Amino acid sequence: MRRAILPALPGQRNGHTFHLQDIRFFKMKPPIFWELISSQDVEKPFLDFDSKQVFSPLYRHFGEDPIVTGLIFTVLVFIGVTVYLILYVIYLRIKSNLYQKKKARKFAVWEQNILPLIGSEVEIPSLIIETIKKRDYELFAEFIAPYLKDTKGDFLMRSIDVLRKVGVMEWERHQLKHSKLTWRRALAVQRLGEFRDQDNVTDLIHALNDEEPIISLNAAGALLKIGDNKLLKKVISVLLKNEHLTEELFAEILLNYESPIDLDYLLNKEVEKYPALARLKVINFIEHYNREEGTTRSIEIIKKSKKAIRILLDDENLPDEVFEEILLKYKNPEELEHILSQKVEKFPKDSMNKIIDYIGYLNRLEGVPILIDLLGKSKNDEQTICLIKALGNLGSEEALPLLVDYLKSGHPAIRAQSAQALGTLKDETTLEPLSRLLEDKDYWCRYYAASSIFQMGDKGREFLQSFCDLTQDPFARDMITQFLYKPQ
Amino acid sequence: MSPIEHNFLYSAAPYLNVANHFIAGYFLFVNTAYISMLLLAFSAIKRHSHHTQSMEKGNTFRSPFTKPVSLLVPIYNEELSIIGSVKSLLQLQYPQYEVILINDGSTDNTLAQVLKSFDLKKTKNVFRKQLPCQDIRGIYESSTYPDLMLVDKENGGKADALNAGINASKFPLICSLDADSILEEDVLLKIVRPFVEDPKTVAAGGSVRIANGCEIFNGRVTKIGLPKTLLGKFQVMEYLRAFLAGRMAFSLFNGLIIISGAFGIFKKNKVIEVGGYHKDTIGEDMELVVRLHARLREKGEPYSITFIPDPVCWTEAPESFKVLRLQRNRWQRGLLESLFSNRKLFFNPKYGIVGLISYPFFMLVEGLGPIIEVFGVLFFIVSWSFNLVGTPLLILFILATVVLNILLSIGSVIFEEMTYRRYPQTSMIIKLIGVSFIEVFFFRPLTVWWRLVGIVQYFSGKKGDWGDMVRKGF
Repeated sequence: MRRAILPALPGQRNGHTFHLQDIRFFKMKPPIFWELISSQDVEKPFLDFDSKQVFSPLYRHFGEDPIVTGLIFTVLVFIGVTVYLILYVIYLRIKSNLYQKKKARKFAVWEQNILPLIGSEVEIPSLIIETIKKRDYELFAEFIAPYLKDTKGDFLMRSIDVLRKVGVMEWERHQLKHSKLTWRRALAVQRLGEFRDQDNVTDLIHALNDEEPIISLNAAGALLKIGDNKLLKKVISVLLKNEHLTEELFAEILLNYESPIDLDYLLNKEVEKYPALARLKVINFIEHYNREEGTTRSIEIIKKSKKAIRILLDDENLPDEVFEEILLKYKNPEELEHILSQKVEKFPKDSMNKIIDYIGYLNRLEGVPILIDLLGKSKNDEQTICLIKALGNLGSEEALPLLVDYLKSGHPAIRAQSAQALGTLKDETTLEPLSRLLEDKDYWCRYYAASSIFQMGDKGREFLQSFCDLTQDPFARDMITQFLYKPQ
Repeated sequence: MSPIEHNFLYSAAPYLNVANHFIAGYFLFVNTAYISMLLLAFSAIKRHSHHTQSMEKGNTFRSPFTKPVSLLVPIYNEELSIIGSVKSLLQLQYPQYEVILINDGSTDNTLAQVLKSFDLKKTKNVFRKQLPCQDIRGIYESSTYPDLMLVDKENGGKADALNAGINASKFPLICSLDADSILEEDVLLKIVRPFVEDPKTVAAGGSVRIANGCEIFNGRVTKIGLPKTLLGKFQVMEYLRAFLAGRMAFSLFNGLIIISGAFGIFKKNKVIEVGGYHKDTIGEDMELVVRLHARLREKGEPYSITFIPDPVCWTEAPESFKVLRLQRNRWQRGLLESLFSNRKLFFNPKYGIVGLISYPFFMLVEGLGPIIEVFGVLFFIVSWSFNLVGTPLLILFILATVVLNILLSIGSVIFEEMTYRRYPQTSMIIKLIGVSFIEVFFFRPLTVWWRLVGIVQYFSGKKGDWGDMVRKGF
């Protein structure tokens, strides 16, 4: 039995009039869809459900259509939330205004009553201390922190005493141990660091090993603020184990330490067991620190850090990024010279070649004289190739005569490398020596000679053309035509 | 009703109905997305403000160890405002940074003015051309301001100028700015945080605010105010919503694919690795970030692109309809261009959450949304006029959309109130709430229409007008 889905046109069927209102939103299916379903002799439309039954509880209140009902609900909820949010904004504003006022008032009172007393020798009357209620603890901690910064001796001792008597110290310790909020615990750690009470050291050491990085790092900073050399060692060993700690953060934390840092400790054997990156962090820190603080032992320290770097460079498994970092550190020519100086033979051969490659790669123009010097002395073919490559990268004019000399080398790779390097210089005086390589028996020598001449523009091309016409060597001709008739 | 009309309706009604189903579904999807973004942003902002509270104190990040930053400022015909901007840029709180101005072939007096004001002299410096850019005419440095450098180059557009700036920069972090960006004094200290705390960070953006109506002295915001015109206020609201709710939510799951060109900071080597800014794009800022995501996901390298909700940068917004129209039109084309040129990401599980959530969201809601919105409203009204949709349904539908919009706007005002309280007077907050009530009737339809025009222009291949910002100067 088929059932017509669409009502008949008006007047088509006796006694039945079609009203467009009957076709309601969400109730009608497109004809194709319907054809598919209705052909299977289905009584009920596909996916149709008796909305009146499903939504009957709502329906009774809101009318006929479940969608309308749902929308009414949604709109009402939205309006409710909006009104709530508006009230909330106003509440926030009023609350914050009141808080600011209260803060200003309290701070003024404390500044007048408590600060002078801490500064003097007089015992602080318990009456005044009792005026600070528990709800003021947060404010009091905020109030006292700036005064504790950079203070030592009596004022600090008496402040700590006040903080203990008021109960703020105990309160923060309690927050550190029992608060469920990470940020609150981190804040507690930070405040305990600001208060610099030796009694908190045990709790802070415990916090140093906390799972939350922010708490652990804050604890490291706090301990250094309070601490002595012994704590420094402990903190550093924790910090160095943290691979994700950036160099900057490492330095920031170490700078919390107020007495001069024992640089000797930082450079001792123990540090060497940490990964290369961590060790480099230490060396970088030491060098900056040394520069900033102007320690009297700077020369000794520089020597030591240089030695530490050398030990790092000797490491066969040194990661490339550490290596690059080391090289980037040498910012001025003298320092670079230092790394490449006479003692250079002491570097393992591979490190040396890496260094030369990087000088070329990093475009360190100040390295040119050193490289030329090395090239003059070089006995090792591999190193010579590295040097020529680096000089080619740097495009140094000064190296030109040497490079031309190396075109006559017995080693084909060196000849080819020199030819390639001369290509970057584009000097017309090299046309003649390069042309000799066009007839070389090594393919790469011919290739790079042709390529370098070709790169010299019109003049080079003309030269290649005339050479091609004159030469007897079929290999040279092939190579040249390859370049000259390259599809553009 | 004539039989012809009736016949037409008889056959068209079901299709209209399908369209209405689709549109209703779209609205449901979009609004659910917006609401969840609001909730996500709520938790993220709360966490961020707690984090800042429990971390930043005193001298943090002011040590000489902090990574130095190169600020890149492309300038093109900015003689009115450039001197003040550069002066303020030279006074930021940061251990080490340099300001690189890139004169992109200005045709007015900009170059001469800058050279004279900052005592810049031509040097013979060379630098490594790591990214392609137009020819450099000269590099200028100053003995009075050692941290200032000017690169004078042939005109090549903003992306090209930024590439030239990257080539000239010395430091490992680069920060792209608009010439009219007004920065907070401690902006670099704030924005560099993610790089210090997490070595995986490759880029970070901050929230941009509208400077119109603020008092500005010597390139610095001295007193915060609301714009005088309603159009300006609408945009304040819009920026709050876009930055505090939108970007914060995306950044939470490392899916942020927009960092505003007015202020963004990047790791230089990563930018070079992906080939720098693409020339000939309108939305070069977004395009770069999308490309960074794509490249780093392809390599399987862990990374993060972060958003800092702290207000860091103030910018002048257009307050005339014409300029605003062109701006929106350009943004829309830029957005589509960035999305389409990286279309391999679309619903591609290889690109993780960026391919599956951020990209489709931007494509369907931000990119093509206006089409659906405009046609949706038209369909609904047509359906209603033929009585296919009941009047109560139509009214309720409109009401729901309007109220939701107001709700979202007020939500962003709450974020602002909870965290930064940038608008000091209570009356300003009340004005903002008022604005969020009328915005949905005037400003939103207008922008949707402009964006639709942008979409049409993009697909018809019409380049369109760049829409020069007419600056009043501060």
